[in-house]
This record gives sequence, structure tokens and C-alpha cells, in this order.
Amino acid sequence: MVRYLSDIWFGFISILSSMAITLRYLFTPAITVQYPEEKREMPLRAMNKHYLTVDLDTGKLKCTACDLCAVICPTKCIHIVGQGKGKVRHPVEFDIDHNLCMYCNLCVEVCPFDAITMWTGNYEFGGFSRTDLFIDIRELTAPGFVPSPMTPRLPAAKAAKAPARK
Amino acid sequence: MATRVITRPPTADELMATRASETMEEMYVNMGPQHPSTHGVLRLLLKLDGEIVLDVWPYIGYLHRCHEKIGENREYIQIIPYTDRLDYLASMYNNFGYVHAVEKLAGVTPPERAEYMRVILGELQRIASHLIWLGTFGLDLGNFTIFMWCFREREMVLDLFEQVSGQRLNYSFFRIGGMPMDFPEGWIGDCKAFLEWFKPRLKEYDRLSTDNIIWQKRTQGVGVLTQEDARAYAVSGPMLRSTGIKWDLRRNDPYSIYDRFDFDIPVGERGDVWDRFWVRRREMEESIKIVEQGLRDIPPGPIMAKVPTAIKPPVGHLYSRVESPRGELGDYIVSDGSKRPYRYKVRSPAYVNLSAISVMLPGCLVADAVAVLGSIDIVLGEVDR
Amino acid sequence: MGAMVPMPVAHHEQLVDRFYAAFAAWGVPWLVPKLIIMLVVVSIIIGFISVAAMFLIWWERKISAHIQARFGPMRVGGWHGWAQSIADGIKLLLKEDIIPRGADRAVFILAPMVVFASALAAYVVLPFGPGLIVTDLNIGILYIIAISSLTVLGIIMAGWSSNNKYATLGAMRSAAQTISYEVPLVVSLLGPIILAGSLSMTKIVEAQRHLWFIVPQLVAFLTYFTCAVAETNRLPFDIPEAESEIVAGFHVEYSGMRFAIFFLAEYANMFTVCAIATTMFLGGWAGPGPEVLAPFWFLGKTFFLLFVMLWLRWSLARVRVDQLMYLGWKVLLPIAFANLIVTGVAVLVV
Repeated sequence: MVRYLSDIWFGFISILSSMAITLRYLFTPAITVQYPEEKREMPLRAMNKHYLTVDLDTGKLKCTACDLCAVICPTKCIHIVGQGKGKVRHPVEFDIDHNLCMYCNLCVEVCPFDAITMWTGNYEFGGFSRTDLFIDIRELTAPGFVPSPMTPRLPAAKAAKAPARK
Repeated sequence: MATRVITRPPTADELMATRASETMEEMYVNMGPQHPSTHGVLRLLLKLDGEIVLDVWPYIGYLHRCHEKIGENREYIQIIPYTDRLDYLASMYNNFGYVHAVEKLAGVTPPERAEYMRVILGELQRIASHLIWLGTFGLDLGNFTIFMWCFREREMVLDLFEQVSGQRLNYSFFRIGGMPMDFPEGWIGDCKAFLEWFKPRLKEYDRLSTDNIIWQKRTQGVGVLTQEDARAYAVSGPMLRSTGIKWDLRRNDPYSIYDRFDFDIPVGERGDVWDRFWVRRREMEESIKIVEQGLRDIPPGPIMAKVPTAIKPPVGHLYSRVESPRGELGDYIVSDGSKRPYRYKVRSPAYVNLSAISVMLPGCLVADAVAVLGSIDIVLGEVDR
Repeated sequence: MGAMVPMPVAHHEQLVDRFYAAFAAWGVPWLVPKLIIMLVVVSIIIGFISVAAMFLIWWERKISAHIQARFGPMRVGGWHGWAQSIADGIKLLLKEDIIPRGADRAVFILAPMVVFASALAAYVVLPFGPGLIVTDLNIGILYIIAISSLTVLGIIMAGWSSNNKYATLGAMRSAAQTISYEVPLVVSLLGPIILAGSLSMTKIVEAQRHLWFIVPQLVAFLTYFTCAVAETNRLPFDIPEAESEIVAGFHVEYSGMRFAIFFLAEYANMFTVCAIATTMFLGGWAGPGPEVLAPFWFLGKTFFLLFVMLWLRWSLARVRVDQLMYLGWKVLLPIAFANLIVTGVAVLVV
């Protein structure tokens, strides 16, 4: 009998306690971000669509078509055709199939020339068909400075022109 | 010994017979594979007598992606992104288990700082995994609010992980011999801020869950797993600890540097759903302690040992295990001296824990089936590999 | 005839008489203006229910969102998605009307109508203000209790006619729940009825002029409110509608507008039970200020109780079926009876 009554009393109090905390939350501001009007600030290392980095002095791709990234890719989504020998070797075709890409960062890690990066902040590249996600060398060429693990920031002399990111 | 007799699932004729029967005494009901509460694509065939579950047969394999076969055709470093996708809610720990196994096989020792980083990230991952479990468990019981609140905290952990590894879910952030990148500037401060924010949140969750009479009545005394059944079915992790057996690989078979940390192992009493909930809830607090100790003690230094990218472990085989948020995650690797493993097997905790459902569920009400299934904490990616 | 049209008190008697007189002057039988007035009244009530239900649905989504630290509807219609319910209604109207093969067509089509009709019929005796009541039956509250039991009939019709084993099971569980909670609901309402000395809604409101009945009848109020939440199938008692239970609800085979009618009936029922609670326990339309503000006080109190119902939904987990039965029969019914005995003794002695 005592147990029955104490259960009822405990039940009543615990329900009021749950309701109290829910009420408190009703008056705290919401934390969700209204995309696409507001966008979250992405951290520096957020991995998104690849870019092939460009040497800012010469304007040419740093990539030498050495095939290390294509070999290490677990899903074999990188396809490279290179041309030339030695110092003038460069890629003629460089395709990444983003349908297969796992975003594992192994291609960036293994590249000795700092030629490819995923720290691009470009995550809005959805397409309407699979072919929209085959990215070729023209789309992959970086438009300017893009951070990469070896060069996360511009050297001081050029820092004034770069947009700020954490 | 488990005292339950293994019954075979009904044949098609038996199913049709019950469907056509006038009385609805014994009924076969399918739960899943598409169902909001089966936490993935799992099919449970239940045999009901009115409201009581008489028997249950789980059907798995809907998410089988040939993980182990893929592992035979990839170099050791290339398998790391695939391990993420096993238990996708605790990716760091999958990576940890695999990388630890390969390092033991190859005889590589990661540097101190890398070990501390692993423990910190692993325990943060444990918090995130338990949060998602708590949220979905609350959702199964009917409480939508706790789901959203747990996800808010989980978002913060995911933000921390994104700052470190660049990814929110499948990090592949461990490497054989250490870690690929160090913590960015300010990360340790952010992590401490998160922990300070998180500690009072657990008290808030308590008011909706632990101290709430409906939650207690739904979970206490339901789906009991006895100690001998737990041993017989080889369950591990919080499910094992909820039965009263104090077994945690971080204490009983320490790996990495867990023996330097001071934390408790919460243990349940009766092995019911309440105990499983309570053990995981307490584990979140213990993980907070471990992360704080790790952040306090982490030494400066290198984060990667000198290891070739295409590593070739010596010929041999090894079974290594870690305590993932779901239980004992084991990796068995057979190496033939080449760049690719000869055989790679994963002992997934959720797969083994799920098999214990055949002793826990019979005798429960239908409404409890959802609660019991939720309390096992399965992730189908791990169950099916 | 009583007050038939919800217009300001001072004028409507004369207007109604002049309306009848006009028709009599043209030689039309009195049935015609009576029918016209009834149609107007019913349309106003249905209009009110629709607007109230749509507002409630939007409000519920907003409250649930802010409790969960998010925003809820924000886009449809501009300011905080106020037109979201309208958009949902239009979507439901445009859906294909599916009637399962093997279903009992007539019963299948009638079931949502029965549920909605019984929800609608209760509005006839709700006192929105002094004189603002469609019919002031002298058995007001008894009428409401009797009519609301018809909802069970509609639910069983829906479950049975769907030709779906799980719908039938769900319907029976829902019917069991509704019937179990009717008894303590009625017994707890007996307390204020004894204190007021009448079954008529307006007399009960007038009896609370000096003290709202919630003060002497707090236990009855809490019991009534719990039973009301169970009657309307709201969390924590929403097993008939629970998505995460295996056995689906009674309305699993309904889609489009038919489903919308069930949905609307649920919210109409919510409003009714809160309005009854306001009338019986919170003093009805009583409030400071001139009498023209009375409907606003009534609606304000009702919406406050609705807010408490919504708030309850988002704070608690679901109660299991056997625990639900235990609660209804072994906890709430004894409490309601105890309250009845104490009230009776107190009235006798004092």
C-alpha cells in the first residue's frame, strides 16, 4: 500500500520535473542554422571537393602525374594521363570520379608535391546525374590559393590577398 | 549453459496456415527490414501469442558489403577508410582496433603523443556513440525531445572531429604507426570547453530519463539477460557489464596506454534494459574523465613512427581486440608477408550481442521488443559487415 | 428556443425573432429559417474547428521545435511558417484516395465521418461566453460524455473495415484504452457537478463566480486532465498512433482527406476536452474586464490547457499498454472515487 502511494507521488513529481526542464528549453534560443540563408563556417581541415593546386608564381599545376595518388586510392577513382618526362612532366587528363571517392585523404597525404588538396570548403557540388560527379582536370584546377596540409596558409607576402579562414 | 532450445523459423506453409486461421492466438509478425526502430536494416520475425513474444528469429545480411573480402584486395593502409564504415557511429574506434592489430603484427610502436591522441579521440567517440544510442533509445520509447538534445551534443563532438580530421562521420584518421595530423591550434581549448558544456547536460538528460517514472517503468525488469546466458552467448561491452560481470578490455586486457588512466567501470545488477541504459550513461561520465586526463597529460612530440606507406608485416597471424562502445571489437589478420593481408576478419560486437536477443525477447510484451532491441545498441554496418 | 446564434448577447434575440418574422411574412414555413440558422451555426462551428485545429498543428510543431532547440516551420507563408498547416491540408486533399481491396467500403467511408461527427457534436454545448452557447441543454455535461463515447464506435469501424489484421488489433487496443479512461474521467467530473448542483454548462460556470472549482477539486482536475490526455490518444498514451510499435494504428489504411479527417477529429477532441476542463474547473468565461471580453478569457484558458497538453507530449516517454490499463483502472479510478466521496461528505457537512 505504501509502495503504491509512494509510486503515485514519485510519478507525479518526476513528471513535473521533466516538464520543468522542457519548459526551460522552450525559452532558450534555437541553435539550428537556416541553410541556405545562413551557412556554417567550415573549419580549415574540412574535406570537400578536390582541387589540384597551382604554383602561384608560374600559374601551372604542381602535379607531375607521378600516379602515387591514383595507386593509393582505395576505390581507384583517380585516372591520370601524363605527358613529358622529368621536370616537364605534367598531367593531360586528371579525372576523379566523385561517385566512388571515399574522402579518405590518402591521395593528399601521399602526394610529395603538394599538388592535390581536399581542404577546399566546396561542398555544394551535387549533381542530377552520375556524370555530373565525374570531375575533369579543368574543374579540378584551383582558381587561386587553396589551403593544403603542406601549405595551410599563404606565405606572409601574399597573405593580404587571401580570404580569411580558420 | 544456456537453457534455451534453438527452434527453427517457420516454413512458408506454417506462415500461411497461421494467416488463414480464425483465431489470432499465434501470429507471426515481421519487424523490419524497413522499420523506424530496428536501427538499420534488420528483420526480426516474431512469433506472438496476443501481446507476448514467444520466439524471435533475427534475419541479417541486408547491409553486407563484403568488407572482409575487400580487405584481402587492398593494402593495409587502404583498408583503414573501409573500417570506418563498419560501425559507422563509432568510426574512430573501428580505426583504432584495426590499426592496433596491424601494428602488433608488424611490430610497430606509435609514439607517445600519438597514443594519447588515440585515447582522447577514442573516448570522445565513445561519448558520441553513447549519445546517439541514448537519443535513439529515447525515440524508441516515445520521447522525441531527448533525441534532439543528444544530437545537439553529438554535433559538438562532430565539430571537434571535423576540426581534427576534416570529416564528420567516417574519419579514417588513424594510421599504422601513429596519426596523420596533429591537433590544430586551439583544439584542446575547444575540447575542454565542450566537456564543461557537456557535464551539466547529462544531468538534464537524467531529468527526462533516469528520474522519470515512465522511463523507469518501461525499462526496469524488462529483457533480462542472466550472467550465464551472457557468458554462453559471448556478449561483451555494456551488455555484459549490465549483467554484473565486471569485464572491460581497457582494464582487464589493457591496450594502448589505457593502464595509465584512472576511471571506474560501471556495472549493472540485474541485466535488464534499465541496467544497460544506466551502464552506458555512467560510461559517458567515465569517458569525460579519461579525456580530461588525456588532455592534461598529453606530451609534445612526433605523432608518426617511421613506417613505410606500403607496410609488409612479417608472416603470421594475430587476433587483437579493443573495447569499442558496443563491446569487444576484434581484428584477426593473417599476413603472408605481402602488402595485402591474406585474410582479414572482424569480430564485431554488435553481431554477437544481437544473437542474445533469442534469450532476452521471449516472454516480453510486443512493446518491450522495441526497447530491448534498442538496448542492445546494434549498428547494422557492423552486424553485416 | 434559447440562444441559437453566437452573436453579441444584447442583440441576437431580437435579430433571430426578426429573421423568423420575415420568413413568416413571406408565407414560408418556419422550418426553412430554422434550417438556415442551423446550417449557419454548423458552418461557423466547423470553420472554427478547422481554424483552431490548423493553428494547433502549427503551434504544436513550433513548441516541439523550440523545446528541442530548433525552429520548426519557417518558410511556408513567410513569418515562421504560419501557412504550414494550410499547405499540409492542401497536400492531403490532393492525395489519391485509396480504398483497400476487400475492405468493407461503406463502413470504411463512414468511419472517419462518425469519429468527426462525434467530435463535432460536443461543440454544441460549449459555453464560449455568457449566452454564447449553441444550445444550453440542462444536461450539458452528460450529453458531452455520452456523445464522446461514439468515437470508440468510429475507431472500431475504421479498424474492422480496413481488412488488415494489424489495423483491427490497433483499433481494439485503442478502443480498450478509450473505454478504460472514460470511467475515471466521468467519475472525476462528478466532483464539480456536485459542487455546482447542476449538469448544465452555463450553471456550472455561474457557480464558479466566487471560487474556481480547481481549488477545492484539484485532485479531480489532475485526474480529469490525465484521462483527457488518454482519451485524445496523446503522448504519453499514444500507443494507438505510435510509429515505433510494430502493430500499426487503426488508421493505417487511410490516406489523403480521410486521414486528414481523423487528424482533424483528434485536434477537435483535444479542444473539446480542454474546453470542458476550462468550464468545469477554471471558471469558464469568467475573467476581469467587461463582458465582451468573456469569449477571449474562455479561449485563453482553453489554449493554456492545450499548451499544457502539447508540453506534456514533448516531455515524456510512451506508457506501455499493460501499464496504461493499470494506471486507468487501479490508480485513476480509486483516486476519482476517493475525491467523489470526500466531495460528497464535505457538501453534506458544510
